[in-house]
Amino acid sequence: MDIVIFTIKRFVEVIFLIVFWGAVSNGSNLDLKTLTSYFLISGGVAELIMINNLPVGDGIKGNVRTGQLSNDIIKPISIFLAQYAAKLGSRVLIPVTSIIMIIVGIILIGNITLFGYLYFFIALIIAMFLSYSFNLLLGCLYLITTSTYSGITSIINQSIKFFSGALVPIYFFPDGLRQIIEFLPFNFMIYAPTTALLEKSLNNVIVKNVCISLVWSLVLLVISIYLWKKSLKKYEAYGI
Amino acid sequence: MNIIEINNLNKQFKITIRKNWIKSIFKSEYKIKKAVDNVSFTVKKGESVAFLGPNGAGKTTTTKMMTGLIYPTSGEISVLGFKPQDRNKEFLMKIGLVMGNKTGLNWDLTARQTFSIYQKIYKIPIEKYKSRLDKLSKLLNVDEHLDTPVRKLSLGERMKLELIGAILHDPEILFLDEPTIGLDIISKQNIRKFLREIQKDHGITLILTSHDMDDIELVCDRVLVINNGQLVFDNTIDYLKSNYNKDKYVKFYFDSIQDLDLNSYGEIYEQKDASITYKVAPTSLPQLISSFTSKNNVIDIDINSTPLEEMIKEIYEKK
Amino acid sequence: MGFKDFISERWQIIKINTVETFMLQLSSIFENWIVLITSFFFVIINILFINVLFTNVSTIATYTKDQMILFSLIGNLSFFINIAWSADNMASLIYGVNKGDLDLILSKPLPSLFYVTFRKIDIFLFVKGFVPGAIAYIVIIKWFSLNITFESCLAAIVIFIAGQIALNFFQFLCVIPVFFRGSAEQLMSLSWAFEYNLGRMIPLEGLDKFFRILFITLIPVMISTGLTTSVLLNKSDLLLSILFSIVVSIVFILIKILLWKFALKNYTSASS
Repeated sequence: MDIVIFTIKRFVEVIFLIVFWGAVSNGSNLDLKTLTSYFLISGGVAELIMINNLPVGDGIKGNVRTGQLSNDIIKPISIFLAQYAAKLGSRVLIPVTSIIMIIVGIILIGNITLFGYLYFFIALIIAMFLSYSFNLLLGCLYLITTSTYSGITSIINQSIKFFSGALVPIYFFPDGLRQIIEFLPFNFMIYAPTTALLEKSLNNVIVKNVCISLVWSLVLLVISIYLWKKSLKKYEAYGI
Repeated sequence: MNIIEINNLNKQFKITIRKNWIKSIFKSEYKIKKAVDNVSFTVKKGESVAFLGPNGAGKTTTTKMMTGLIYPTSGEISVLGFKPQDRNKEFLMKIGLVMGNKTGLNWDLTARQTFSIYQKIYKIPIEKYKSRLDKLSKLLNVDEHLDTPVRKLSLGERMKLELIGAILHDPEILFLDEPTIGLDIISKQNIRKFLREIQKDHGITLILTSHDMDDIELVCDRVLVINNGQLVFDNTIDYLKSNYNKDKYVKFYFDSIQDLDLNSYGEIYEQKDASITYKVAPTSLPQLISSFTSKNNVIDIDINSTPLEEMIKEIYEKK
Repeated sequence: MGFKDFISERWQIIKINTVETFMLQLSSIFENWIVLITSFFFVIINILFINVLFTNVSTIATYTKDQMILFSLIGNLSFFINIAWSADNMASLIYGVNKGDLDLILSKPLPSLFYVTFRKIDIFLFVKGFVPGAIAYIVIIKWFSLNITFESCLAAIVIFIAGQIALNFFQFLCVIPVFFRGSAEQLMSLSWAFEYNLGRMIPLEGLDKFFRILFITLIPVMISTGLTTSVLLNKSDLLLSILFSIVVSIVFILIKILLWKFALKNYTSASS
């Protein structure tokens, strides 16, 4: 029953986003079909890589509050990886609905080449690593602050959504801002994989984007793992 | 005069069973559990009654029906002349409830702040409220914790404050569901002593559910044993002690054991490195002591009557 | 019980749960700053979002940029007021039913529904969460371009209050299943999904007539946001909207009381 409700919730989010864009595009020269396809695919991607509402990082908050984390710390496992796996396991139906959304989005655009699919797949893997790092960083924040204010996740989620293209496609942004955002890691989580499907063949821009995203994923992974270990030590030091 | 009357009380619960996860998305399967099965008893004013029973026996369910928290499936309950499930305000003004590990105090406020709400709802005259709060908090050594946010208090401190909150209004009946669970020995002793005092000095009727035998022995006069939802024993503790299991428990302390055939002396209840305890009928006691001490180097002997635990265990196992 | 007692009890509950919470909250400095900074940042992102949109279009559902920013401001107000008095209490209710803490409320002669509804009124959270962002909104909006009148302001206040009652009822609806099934967190987050994605993102005029009515009645997430803004900007009929809001709030309160009685009757309470 909970899974059904979760799925409905996800659809609600995506549908209303599309309705919103329907209102935006009404009376302008924006193509609603393209936008719908964009938000379906980006919605599916966001859920697959677990960046939407940062469930793993947010889960740490719940574990801190209930003290469950203390139980996990004494076990000989990597806590965060275990949390990640647990979240993956508990959301069995999600990949199904995400893939359905992506497929519908693809059907709406049509004309995807094999290269497009390949690039999409590569961009998705990189996006997963980036999302893992952001979840880890959020988890660190909850460990350090031991705050249970759920607004923290909401605001971080909102910021990521905005800068990653989940709320607004990046091509909407004014030039100056867009150029900055294209260098930041956020857009490689949502915008890059979503628009990867439209690519027909390899070019310099794609190579550049893949390189930048790889560097970001490596840097963020190293930093987030380091900060996580430090935060865990700090959490332990204050008494479990 | 009976202030609690229970006749043929029954309570059934529908419990969801999950067999097939795919099917359970669409339809749940249930089984019926009989938590309380045809229970009848009465309680007089001023009594101190213990409810005992294994986990899941139905004691807490019975307590909750007496406080109006759950509706019975069938049967009659009358507490202070009221039907608890009506949750009549006058009824609620006359009872108090404390549950171990649960808190009714507002987590975000201090105890004193929550008590000020109670003062209003129980219509306690302000002077009486202040003096009672002062007296009770000093008695339980929590006067310095009255102004600390509840979330920052330890379990023992919280339970004591819960207890104060439950009796500020001088209830006629106090229901306690595992009140000493998780508490340290000193806190337990304080609470037991306190409960006995308020029962004797104020004539409050106590209904106590507990697994702790010391709670029962030190606070209660009468025991009701519930097992599998049924009432299997209803009498005083003295009756229990004099009619159930009169065996003696003899504990021998030694520094070395010469005899290897320890089972030949009788039924071994417990064996440790430097001691051994036998369970023996009173008539066989002298013989056990003389034969054991003659063959082993005994340093000390303890002779005890059957612990209450064992008597209760016997009752559980009978039905 | 006399009317005086009725009011006096409830006033005591509100007073303690408001004032005292405020005093205690003042002491958690670190958390206060986190809330302040993150909420302010949220508003900045929102304003950026609207600006980005309006570099590509000139109106959204007949709303100009300043009108959209006003809509955002009202959405933010609704969010923080709701968190301060409603959402948190409903979440606590779920916890209380699951853990059995509700027993200790029901065994006292407390007006139980009133108590669980107003258990915590976190004015300070509202102050630190809403005010900084509101200042940013207020500074940016070109107020003279908005068609706001004194009457529309008054009407908007009434409708906003009705909207809060409606939101509380909607959240309460999502809590009720916990009395029967023991879990309701997903339903709560579903209600949040409606409130956020619909109530705060889409202006009332962005929907078809059917959906407008749906989302101010059966799924009442747009009353304190979309309808309030629409009335404030004189885009909707004032009198009709006020009458409608008052009727809707009374109906919701009555249904809530009935539902509570029904839920309590079936309450089996968590095992100890």
